[in-house]
Amino acid sequence: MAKQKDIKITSLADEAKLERLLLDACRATGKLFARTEREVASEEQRQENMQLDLPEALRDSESTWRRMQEPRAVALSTLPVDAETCDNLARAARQGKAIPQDVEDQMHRDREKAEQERKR
Amino acid sequence: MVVSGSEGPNSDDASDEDLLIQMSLQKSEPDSAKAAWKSFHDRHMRYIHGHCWGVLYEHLGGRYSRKALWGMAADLAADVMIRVYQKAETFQLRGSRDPDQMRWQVRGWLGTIARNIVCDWLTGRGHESGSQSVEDIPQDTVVDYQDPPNPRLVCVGKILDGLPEKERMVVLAYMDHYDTRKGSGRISNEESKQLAEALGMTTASLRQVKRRALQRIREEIESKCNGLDTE
Repeated sequence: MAKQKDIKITSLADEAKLERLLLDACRATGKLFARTEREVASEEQRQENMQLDLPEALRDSESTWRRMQEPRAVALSTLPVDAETCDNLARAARQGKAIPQDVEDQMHRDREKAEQERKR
Repeated sequence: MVVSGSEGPNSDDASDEDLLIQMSLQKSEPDSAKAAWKSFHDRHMRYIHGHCWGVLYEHLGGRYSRKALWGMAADLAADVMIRVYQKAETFQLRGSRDPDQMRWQVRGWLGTIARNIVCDWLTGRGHESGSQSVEDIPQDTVVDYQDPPNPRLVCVGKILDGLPEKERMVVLAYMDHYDTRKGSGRISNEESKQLAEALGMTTASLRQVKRRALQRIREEIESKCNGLDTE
């Protein structure tokens, strides 16, 4: 068996060490996206136990492909505030509060700018 | 290794690396690139959706219904697959061609993409790690299915689960932005401002909540997790 990396910390008063411990704990318990081989293997095991279904929309790759052809998907990497999905999570993060007017104005300006750049 | 050509690889039998290489040829061979992407989609969509669901539930479960989170996870998983096609050429396999190890590396890359998209969502712009490739992912490559969960980390995970919702949300958001190269959960002033706005706080209250959460966690670790082995 492979020896695991020793994450024991000597002093919790050291904030950097505490944060590193928290990061490792988040990863080990599925609170963050799995990025290393070990984390992915753990996540696969976790999913085997959960037996989650797949939403109808994701069963057909053609529907994801069509989504890719939509303008919002093309702009995703440069215009995150333009995405419907972003709106969902951002709204969730704001706990349902309205977008301040100045932020909304900036979003519109960003969107117009990105669309103009895409047309070029 | 593939194999460019008019037919492309047999997508069902091709390795993930082969499929990604074929996708990277999308300008010259669009049909086989699309076929390769479809095979990749069918192979990994269930995993990435399940993972997106799990992480979003951890972050937002207290505030959103399972149905709403289910939809968000579907959106996120679809966006991950879209970005896979757009960024296929950036994937680089490390080391072994062992099928399990290759799958873990590819799925680790998908996790990195998902994390970057979520950072984009939360901060309204590209995260500084947005261009990260699999090369930058920390290496702890030896995997043994029999490895038991590390009891100390499980203990700390439970403490995180028990935090008041706001503190938990802030700690997880900081962990999302943790930079392993700098070894710090500190974020720039600009990112802090964006994050505070996304979480409906001021930057001062964000820092205050984080400090309070860390103090609470520190005390609970000392009372509940001390003495637990790390191996």
